[in-house]
Amino acid sequence: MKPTTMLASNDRAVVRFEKMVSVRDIDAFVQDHARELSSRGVTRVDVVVANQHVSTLSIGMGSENGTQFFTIATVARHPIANEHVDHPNVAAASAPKEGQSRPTLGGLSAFADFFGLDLRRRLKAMAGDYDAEIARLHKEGRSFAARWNKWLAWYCAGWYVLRSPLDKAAAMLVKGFTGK
Amino acid sequence: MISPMEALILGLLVQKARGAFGSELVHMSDGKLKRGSVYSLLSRLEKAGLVKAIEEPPTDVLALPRTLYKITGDGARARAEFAAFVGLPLLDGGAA
Repeated sequence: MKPTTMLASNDRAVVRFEKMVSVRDIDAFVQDHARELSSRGVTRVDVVVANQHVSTLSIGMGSENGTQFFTIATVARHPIANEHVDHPNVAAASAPKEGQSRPTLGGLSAFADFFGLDLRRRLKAMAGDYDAEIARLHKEGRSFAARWNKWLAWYCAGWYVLRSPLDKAAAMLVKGFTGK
Repeated sequence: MISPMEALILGLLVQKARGAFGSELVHMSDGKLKRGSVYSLLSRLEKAGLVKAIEEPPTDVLALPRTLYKITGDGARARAEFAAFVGLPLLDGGAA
């Protein structure tokens, strides 16, 4: 399976797989793209599978008997509980719930981009705070609370969008009366 | 002149030298601040130059960046002026 998104910035790249894949598939992809990644200056690759950060790999270049080759080493593996990811180090008992990915607010952050700078900054600040809370709840294994907080964040965003014109009108009235 | 709620936010930020996130302010205010209004208030204070917003980079690849708010010198002065004007202790209970 090919990853749907691949972002590279400075020395890090993120390889995202939408659905569960085996570690062999991940390794094969990184092997196949090691040269391209390395040429872009990438030394670390974060592997994200179904919205879970599963591992961080380092890419280096070595040579032996005049032949250059790429070395790929695992820097860190992050807990993920899903039987489809079949590497012994990847499956960990400490993961929150089997097969459950963490709810994220990436959609809300993208939704915020439709609005003006002021409202966008408010929405992004709120999304960041809710996201941190969702991550904490998910880590604690409170998946229902995490999902509930995701809906609360969207509800709150809706409220900010609706009240934005009212805020502007109130500010104009205050300015009209006080001249400030 | 700032509003009582804005003075409350500035009072809470005075207690947090390293700055505070919006959700922390809601938690610290014991229900006086709501999630549905705190970011509007902070935005207004930021526009007035009374608080400074600093974007914190995400801690992992899935996380979103968070905004940390810090009080500025003008913010501390505005809070003191508000306390002197109303002649009452501020909503956070602290002295100006």
